[in-house]
Amino acid sequence: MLRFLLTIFCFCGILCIGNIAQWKKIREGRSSDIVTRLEESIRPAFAFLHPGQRVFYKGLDFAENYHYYFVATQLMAPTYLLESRKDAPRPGDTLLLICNNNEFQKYFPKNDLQIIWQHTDAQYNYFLGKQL
Amino acid sequence: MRLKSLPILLLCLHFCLISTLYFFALCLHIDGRWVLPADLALLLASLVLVYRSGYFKPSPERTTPLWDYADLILWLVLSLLLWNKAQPFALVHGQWDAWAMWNTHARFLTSSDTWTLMLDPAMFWNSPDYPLNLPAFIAAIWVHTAHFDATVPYLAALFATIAIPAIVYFELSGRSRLMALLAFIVFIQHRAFLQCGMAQYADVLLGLFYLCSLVCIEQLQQQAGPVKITAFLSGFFLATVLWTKNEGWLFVIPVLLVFAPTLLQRKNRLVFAGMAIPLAALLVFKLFFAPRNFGATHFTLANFLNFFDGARYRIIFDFSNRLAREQFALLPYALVVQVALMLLLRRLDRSMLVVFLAFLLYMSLFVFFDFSLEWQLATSLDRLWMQLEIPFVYIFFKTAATGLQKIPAWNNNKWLGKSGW
Repeated sequence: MLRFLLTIFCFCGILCIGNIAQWKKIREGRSSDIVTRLEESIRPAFAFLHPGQRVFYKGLDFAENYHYYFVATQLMAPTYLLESRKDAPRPGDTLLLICNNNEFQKYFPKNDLQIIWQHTDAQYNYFLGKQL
Repeated sequence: MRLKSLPILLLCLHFCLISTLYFFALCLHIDGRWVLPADLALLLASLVLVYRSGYFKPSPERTTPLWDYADLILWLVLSLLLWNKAQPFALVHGQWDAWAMWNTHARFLTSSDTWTLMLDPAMFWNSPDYPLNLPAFIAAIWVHTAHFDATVPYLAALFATIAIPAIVYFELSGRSRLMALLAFIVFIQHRAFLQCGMAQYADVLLGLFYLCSLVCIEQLQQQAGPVKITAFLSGFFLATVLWTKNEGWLFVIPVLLVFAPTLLQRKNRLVFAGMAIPLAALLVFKLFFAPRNFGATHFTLANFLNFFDGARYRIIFDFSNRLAREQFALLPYALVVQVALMLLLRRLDRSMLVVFLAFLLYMSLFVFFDFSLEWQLATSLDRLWMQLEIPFVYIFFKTAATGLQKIPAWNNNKWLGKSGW
């Protein structure tokens, strides 16, 4: 019986050692990690949304930027539903936009996006807006 | 021979119990924070049950307690070595499918109010029909700790990665310690296994439950040790396979066919009691929540014509050939040796038959469905092989150990024989 309990104890011990090592890895890699960077950038936007709200994602080029979409989806889950919109946004849509300076003008030449929240980091601009 | 890996099997059982209990809590809008304490109570209860089952009574094959502890220490050292080799492959958020799919599902599952958003058609890219064993386990711990800690999916991945060699090692050490050691070294040296394990995918977890179910069913066949516990575990792990990934059906069908005489015996009726818990979770999810899966939406009778399309077989063969050379270099040789050993021993291993039939079913899906074959092979064939390779490593070394026991010079040797290495 002692051997039985020791096996369980040792197994859990290896999991603990692994977890501590992984926790250190996470702490060291925080600044370069896309999830952490996106989390810090778009988390404040969530204050302008209500639970269950559907938000459409528009990136500068979806094919190139898809990993931002997937990461943003994970960050917004479970409270909001982020959906990719490859066609033109429709009036009333709430949009999460990740783009560089040039792309914003290309997307909204008529300035028909009511910006609710905006943030800029070293690489991209982040917008939460309502399509007019 | 008793089930030597029972401590690890019990932990595997509780991994799945946490996920099923959490899923039922979600469906019933019960606070998910009670799931971990409830499971801890169930773990203590299961320890009492194991104690009362007579599992700890000295068994005839038992050698000396010293060997038992030597096995334990060797396993611990090997497991630490394995972890040390696997840790460099660990990523903060896992590989593609982990953060795009499994961990995202887990995020949704943390909210009892809005988790069904996961099933919205907008999330079709996210495979919302996938069973919830892994995400529900992660979500249960996240809810309990009230924090989306990235170490939790890693913990689940590490659990499966170290549990697999542990089960193989303990089960084989009863037959031949040398074979147990060699099997463990295969896992330590298998780069593709370590990478897939640390990727935070459900594939290695599925391989773990394939292994658990075969180990328990083989034990049930021998009617050794606490039969009631073994019968319950056999059914439980078999249903857990279905609760882990959709392709689990392709393994469960051959198991039910090949082991039907064992599983359907009246004295083994606890198999069905074991199946009930994960199967109930799966049925509730599939019948009331999950959208139709890829197979159901793409199934047409015209697909059967694909079986006459030689080009598809050529593509699959070329791809398999390349994959075997790059990631599974020893597998073709091991298969040849396995067949030779079975012929020499004049004994068809039923578990091997299950793995072979499951492999045929896996490969037939690539022929059957009309999707971009190259893309599908590139993204999933290695993981599907990995799922089946896990039980195969156990079967291979078990057959080798059986073969060695047939050699009198080996079996009677003080150091190499049954009571030694």
